[in-house]
Amino acid sequence: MDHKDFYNLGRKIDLLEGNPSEAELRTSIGRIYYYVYHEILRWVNCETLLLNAYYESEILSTHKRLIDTFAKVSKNTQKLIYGKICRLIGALHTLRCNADYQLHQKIDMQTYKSTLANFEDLKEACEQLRPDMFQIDINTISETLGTTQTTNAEIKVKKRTIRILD
Amino acid sequence: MIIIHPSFFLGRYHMAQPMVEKLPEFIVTEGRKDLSLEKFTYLNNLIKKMNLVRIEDKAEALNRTGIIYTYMNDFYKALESFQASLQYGCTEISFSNYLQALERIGEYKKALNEGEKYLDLHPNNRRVFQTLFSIAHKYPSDSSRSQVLKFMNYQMDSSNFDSDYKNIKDELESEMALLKNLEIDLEYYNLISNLAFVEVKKIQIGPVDFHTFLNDAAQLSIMIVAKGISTSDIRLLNKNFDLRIQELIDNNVISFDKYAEQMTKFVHSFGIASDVTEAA
Repeated sequence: MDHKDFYNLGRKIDLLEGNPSEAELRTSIGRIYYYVYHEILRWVNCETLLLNAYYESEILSTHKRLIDTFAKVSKNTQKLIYGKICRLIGALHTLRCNADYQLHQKIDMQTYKSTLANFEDLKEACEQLRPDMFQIDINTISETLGTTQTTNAEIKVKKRTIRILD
Repeated sequence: MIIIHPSFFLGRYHMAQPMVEKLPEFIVTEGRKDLSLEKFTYLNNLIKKMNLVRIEDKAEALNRTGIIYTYMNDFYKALESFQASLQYGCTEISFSNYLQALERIGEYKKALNEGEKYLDLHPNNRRVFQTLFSIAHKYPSDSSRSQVLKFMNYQMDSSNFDSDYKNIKDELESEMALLKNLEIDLEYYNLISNLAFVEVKKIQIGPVDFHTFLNDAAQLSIMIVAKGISTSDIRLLNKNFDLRIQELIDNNVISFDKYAEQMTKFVHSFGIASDVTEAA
């Protein structure tokens, strides 16, 4: 199976008439992450610098191993771009974990849009190092797309700032 | 013989010193800042008018000037204005703004200490406590936790006690335990949190939430979620955030090794807040 199909499945909600359901949004976020995961793993497997760092690691979780690989390569090369990739994989992984496990946490169209925006940045960062990656048409969704009504969130730690007011 | 100028009777001298100008609606409206040249010109003119007010209006005019500079992302001038405002008369509002201005220039520790000093004298002050709490919660440390807890009881005794604070103690303690367990360098963590927060405040007016989550790669993820921003703003924030990190490395404020080592333990990212108001 071509992992690109995960991405296409994830973006199907853009074509829906009306607002997507929360389950559809959660599924989309998860599928987009797994597309990213497999695309980057494919890159790791064909580049010695990354592959060595990946196999040096003794971490069992492949997701954490991927994150650690880019952190390690960033340190070894002193190149921030690998750190940026590491950071954005981590952010997308968290969005996917929330989408799959945190059913009490609010996931709505804004979460989906945030996922896509961070994905676009990750794609751009990867392409700086390897231009043939992410052969997909991203077409960021319109800012005016509607949002879904979802249940209230349960967030592990929440910090609110207050405004400067007159 | 004393000659009184006729304009005195016409109130000309009085009129030469205008009342404090109101702040324009766009400055206090939640959402994306409009940092266009047109708005900057307008705001600079407004600052000039604020300088002309009567001495009794100085404190308020300087406080509003600080708010204008904050909107314009000139955080140092905002700080100066709030400090000057306090010289003419300290209010809880201008003091809270002063604390937030300190946070925006990276002086969050000083903000916490100043907030503590104020609350030592006025322990029941709700607004300053909220500001102190808001800052302390973003920058966890043993001292920021104790600064919040020191004044918690005064807030809890209040008749309109905010239920948001009910679980503060447990929250702060569990967060500290988690950060220590993950062996996160708190000084570094707080520095990067401040950097990310300030980048958001450069483009947005309104609430900003820190959503902290431990993902199944055992990495703490801090998503800074802001209202009224767009997907292109997230991309701008990502770009500016990485540029600021690069500057810190270039200026030897942080080492590359520290950056890479801590990256596996926590990451910051940006998101758009939900349209529907969340329960606190």
